[in-house]
Amino acid sequence: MARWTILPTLLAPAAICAPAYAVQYLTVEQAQKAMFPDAEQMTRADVSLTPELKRRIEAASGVPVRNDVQSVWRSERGGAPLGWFILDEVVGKHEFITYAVGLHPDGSVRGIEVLDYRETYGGQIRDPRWRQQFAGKKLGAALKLDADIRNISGATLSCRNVTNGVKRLLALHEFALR
Amino acid sequence: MRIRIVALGALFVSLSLPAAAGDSPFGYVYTTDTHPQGAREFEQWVTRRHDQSTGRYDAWQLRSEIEYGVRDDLQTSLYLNYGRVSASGNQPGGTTGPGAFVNDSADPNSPYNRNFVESISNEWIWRVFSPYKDIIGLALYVEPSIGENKRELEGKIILHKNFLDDRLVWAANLSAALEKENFHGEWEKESEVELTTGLAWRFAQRWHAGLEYRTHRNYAGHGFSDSKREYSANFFGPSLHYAQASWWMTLTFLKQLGNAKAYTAAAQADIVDGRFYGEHHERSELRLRVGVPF
Repeated sequence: MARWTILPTLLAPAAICAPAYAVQYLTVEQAQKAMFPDAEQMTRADVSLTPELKRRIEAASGVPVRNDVQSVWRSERGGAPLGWFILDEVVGKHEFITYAVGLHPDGSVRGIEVLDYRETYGGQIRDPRWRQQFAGKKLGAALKLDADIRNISGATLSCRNVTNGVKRLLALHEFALR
Repeated sequence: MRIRIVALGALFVSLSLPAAAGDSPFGYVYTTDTHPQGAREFEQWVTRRHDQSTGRYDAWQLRSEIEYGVRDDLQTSLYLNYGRVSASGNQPGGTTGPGAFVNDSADPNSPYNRNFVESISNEWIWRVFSPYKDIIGLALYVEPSIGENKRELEGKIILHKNFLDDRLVWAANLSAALEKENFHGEWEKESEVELTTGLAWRFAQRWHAGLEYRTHRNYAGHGFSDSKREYSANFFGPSLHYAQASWWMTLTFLKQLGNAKAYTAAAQADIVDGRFYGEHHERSELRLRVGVPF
């Protein structure tokens, strides 16, 4: 056997046998329904992140802003605002984690939902008890692992990045949605 | 050949297991990531050590490993080191062997082929600081190995830091090892110090591309004083890493740089065109690591 043939021989079964873990737990519509079950209308209200807005968000949250547009929906019932639904992505160990944050009109967290999570460890990030830690948080809250947010073993990077993401979105509300 | 078939069989079996991953974007450099408590992973390493100063030389080093998370910050693993060497006229004078994998009984005028089981190792990694929560990640590593002709105790200090939203990974290891090798029927002591460092960029989801550097110093006897220095050699090259929840792989190619240094006459004889070819040093190394949590 030629020496080099060992490499493709080793790689091929890995590609063939590895189970697919591409899991979408919730669609955007399902997450909106879970977050705002009483909403009559979800109106698209994307925010363009200008350099000045990015600078203010980063200064207030301490978290870098990488995107130029933030996907946002305004939730309403009977013409009255129920809050905001913000769709976001953060870096996980291997892939992006897609999650959404629901905010009350005053900018406090109504809840978070995890739409996509494809990491080896840390599936508990979808656990309601872990997500519930964010409820009521406002801009200025510590939002720090092992302080006011509990870490999940083997998924520290994911927990930290989701926590930082929420922090960033609270600052976005302060400067663009208030 | 039998060893290779066993290794391939083990890999096939492991890859058919439903699983998920704890991984490194580097082939040679350790990061401080450890498995959470109770998590297990199978890893297969294949390292091709290719070409010495002349003739033909190929050493395939295989390592089959089971890793286990004892605690969230403490990981252990047990592995078997084995392989195959094939050499012919690989010494600077055009003779065959001896070297780290070529027995000293090899006929200097004939081609040499051998399958070997080198040692069993038990590795422990204790993560002291996390790169995701602390200013910098720090882990301590200790690994005793025992084999028919080899005893080794290796320690490492592992540093790890991520930048740019975890898209850029940096890690560095300072390693020291005390060895005893049976050579010409006698146990010879030697010591090694290595500094390895790597930088990897996540250029797409699941993919990292990086560069790794490794500098190796060898000492006669046990100790690291200047008077015991024998030689130093340096390696540099690219790495490619793919990972998803169920498995991962890293491929690293290191080429020996032409700036090796000898501190003894015997070591000087093993330097050709600035590269050191004694012990287990070759012109290039290609390492594949595949990991499958289960």
